[in-house]
Amino acid sequence: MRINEHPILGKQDKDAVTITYNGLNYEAYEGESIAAALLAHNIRILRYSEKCHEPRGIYCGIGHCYECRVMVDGERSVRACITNVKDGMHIRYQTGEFL
Amino acid sequence: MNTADAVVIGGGVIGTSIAYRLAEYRKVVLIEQGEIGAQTSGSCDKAIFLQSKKPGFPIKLAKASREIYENLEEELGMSIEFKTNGGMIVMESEAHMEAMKKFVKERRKAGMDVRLLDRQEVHAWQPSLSSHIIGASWCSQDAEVNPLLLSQAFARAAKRRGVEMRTHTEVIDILCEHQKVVGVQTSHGHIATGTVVNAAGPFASKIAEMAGVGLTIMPRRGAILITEKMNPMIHGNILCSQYIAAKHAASDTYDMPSYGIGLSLGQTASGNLLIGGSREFKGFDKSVGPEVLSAIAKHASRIAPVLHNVKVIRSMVGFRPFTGDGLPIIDQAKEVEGFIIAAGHEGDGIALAPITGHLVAGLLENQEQYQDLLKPLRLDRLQAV
Amino acid sequence: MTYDLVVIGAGPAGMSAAIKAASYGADVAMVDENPVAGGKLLGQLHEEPQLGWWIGSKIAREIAASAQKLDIEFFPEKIVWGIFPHWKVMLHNGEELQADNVLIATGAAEKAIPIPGWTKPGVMAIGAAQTLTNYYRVKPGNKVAIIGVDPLSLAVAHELSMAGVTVAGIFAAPSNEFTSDQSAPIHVIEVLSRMSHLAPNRMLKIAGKMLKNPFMKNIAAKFYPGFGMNVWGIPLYLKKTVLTIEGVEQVEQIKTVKTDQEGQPKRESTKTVDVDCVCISGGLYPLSELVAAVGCEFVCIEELGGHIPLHSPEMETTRDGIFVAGNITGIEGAKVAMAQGELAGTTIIARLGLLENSRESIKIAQDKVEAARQHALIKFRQNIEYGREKSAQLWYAHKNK
Repeated sequence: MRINEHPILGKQDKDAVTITYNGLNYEAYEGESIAAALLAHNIRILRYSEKCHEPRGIYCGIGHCYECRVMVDGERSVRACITNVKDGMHIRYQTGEFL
Repeated sequence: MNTADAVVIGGGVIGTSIAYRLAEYRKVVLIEQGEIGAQTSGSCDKAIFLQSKKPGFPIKLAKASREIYENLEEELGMSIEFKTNGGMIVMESEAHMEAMKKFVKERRKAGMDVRLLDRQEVHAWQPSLSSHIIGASWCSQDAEVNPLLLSQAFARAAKRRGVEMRTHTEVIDILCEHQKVVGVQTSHGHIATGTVVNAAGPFASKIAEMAGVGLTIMPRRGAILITEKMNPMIHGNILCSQYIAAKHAASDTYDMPSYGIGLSLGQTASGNLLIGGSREFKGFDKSVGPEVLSAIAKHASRIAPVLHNVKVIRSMVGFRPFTGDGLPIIDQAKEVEGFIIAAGHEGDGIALAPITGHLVAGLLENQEQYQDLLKPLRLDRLQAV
Repeated sequence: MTYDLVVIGAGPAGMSAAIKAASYGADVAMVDENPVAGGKLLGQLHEEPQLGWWIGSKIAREIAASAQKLDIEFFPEKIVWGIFPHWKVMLHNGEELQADNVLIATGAAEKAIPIPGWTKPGVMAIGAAQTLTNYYRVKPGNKVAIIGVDPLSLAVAHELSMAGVTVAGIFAAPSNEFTSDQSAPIHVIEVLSRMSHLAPNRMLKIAGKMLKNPFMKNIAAKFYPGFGMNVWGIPLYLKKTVLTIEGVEQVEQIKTVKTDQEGQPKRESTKTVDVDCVCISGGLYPLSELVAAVGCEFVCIEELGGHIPLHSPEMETTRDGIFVAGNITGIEGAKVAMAQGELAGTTIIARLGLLENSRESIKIAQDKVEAARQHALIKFRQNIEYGREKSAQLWYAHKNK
């Protein structure tokens, strides 16, 4: 899903890092949000709603709607749309379950 | 011409409950300065605690109200998320054990299903609580309700009975002639009436003043934290023994914790945790400082350490109407005929809303069955002191 | 830590204010939830007549670099959870920033258009798609449907197609209680006329001219082709809307339906279109929770996007020392936001006693805001000038109370 070539913005050249999502490794670029990094691998489901367990993904993209909450290195409710990836970051989809 | 047989001032759980009951007998207009249930009744927790009331009359009153709750959803025709899921008061220190034993004994004597749980029993029932909790009192009759739905349910049922709801309407003056109420002047016109029910909660003193009636009800500020949604992790509602101390301490006595903090913890049907709370006298200043909110969070996460990793998403602040002796005033003013006071429920407004409606109707319609409960709620009990 | 000014929101308005104040010697802190400064600038990408491409991320980077040179202390990835009297800005990690002056420049958020299936992964706000595409360089989907016709959605549709995303169509918003009359073709045509100078489509340009006449507006709505037309090669359907968004775990398809002139669906005409992403464009509204929490007074001005904090022509709110700038005061473009930020910054340095001829400087800054407004390429809302005038009148009414 990456846009490597762009008529106005040109080529992109960023450093790669490795993150894990639900136990699997993925390549991500430094300086990109968790949501963008996962979407680059066509991963859209970031959370299951607490009451009805319906899948949720990124919605507003500005940290306002809180739909994209994920677990990051054991911390609950980190917003995937405004949190940048870090090398070795462990990310998990979130539910209402307490871990 | 705008007329009514009674004007109820205040659209919280108390005012809507009164309007609903009175509408059985009279043409009622309810006046609310903002939205229904948006002030005190919209910034409180959801617990209906029986065991936290003092033995004697307070328990009798609370029980009478609690009984009405049993069939209230059916009567009002909508869900108010009423649940009889019990409540506990937890102890953090051995120092509270003797007092707690007495507390349980007194309540059993009053006919309540209360018992003392030991450390293991507390943990089996509430795994989220800290292992330093040495025990708790448990009452199976404690219950809960969604206060937002409660005021809406009363308001809708009242409307069905013909009550006219005037929201976003301010009371400007209570008109009296020859020591009798004759009307209410509002920001949207005049209403002729011989009866005014002052159910304005923490604002009741201001309304009473308009009628020339002296009434001291002070706003006691309470803050509550609201967390993100979680799977069920708290069963029923929880208080700590410090809460009981804070609730019954009328002023800054020696054992009053800072900001009057005592835990009240529960989880809504949506999964959000409500974490209370503080009790302070700060007038009508809604700006609660960070130190108060932090202190509430700190106290709560000491008792339930799992809260450390749960996010607080907002806080709410309300003013509880404080009378001084923990009981509301439901009485007709001596100075002015037709001016009824039904306010001062402090933190028990949710628990006592159902009975309050009946009591005001009982007062106005001279119903024999409620006179016993009305007597200790008279205004002169406070003035005599 | 104590500062002369704490800026909340490091977007175009906040950064401009911070830079203005710091360049006159004020000690400034700037807080943002995001890891980088720039706010909504980061995702912007459009061509300006004579000026060439406006690459928001590049501009944001340059402005942030000047802020850094001026020793503005930046607190990224910090949530402001409260602002307490006179004035303590509390950050979620426990840090406490003290200042007599606080500028709240939190921008805007998007209104949602809830339609069945809108919570499924793959449905996102149009602004999210914009940032993903232009800033993160990740496609929001391979085949995208856009719901809502407005200047922003048309611009993003173009940006998506430049990035190689297939845009299945731009559909009118369904008519429901959340969208009121916005979805009626007549309204949409009016919106289009506001950007007819941008759209490289002859018919739109003609429509834009026609719409100067209210009678012609009706005709234009009536005769707008049901099958739509192309803008930048993207199908634009004013007489079609989306009924439902479907898919098991995430977006797989949409059901579209034709609508009549009032925007009401003609049920018999449903059609299924395969897409993996749906972008919703419901318009922007000022993001003002913090200002409300501080106790500032509000007014509702539809022309500016809804409830805005009551503020003076110098950008101060009804609370002493609390200032606002940018979209929180009304929905306009980045250049207006920057000029407003500079104005707020000027007022604040005047207040701090760092400015000679402060009256004159404030007047110049106000004129700059006006000029930016006059030259705005895209008008997000109609009658913005009228809204601004109303806002000023309400301020004077408040002052004279």
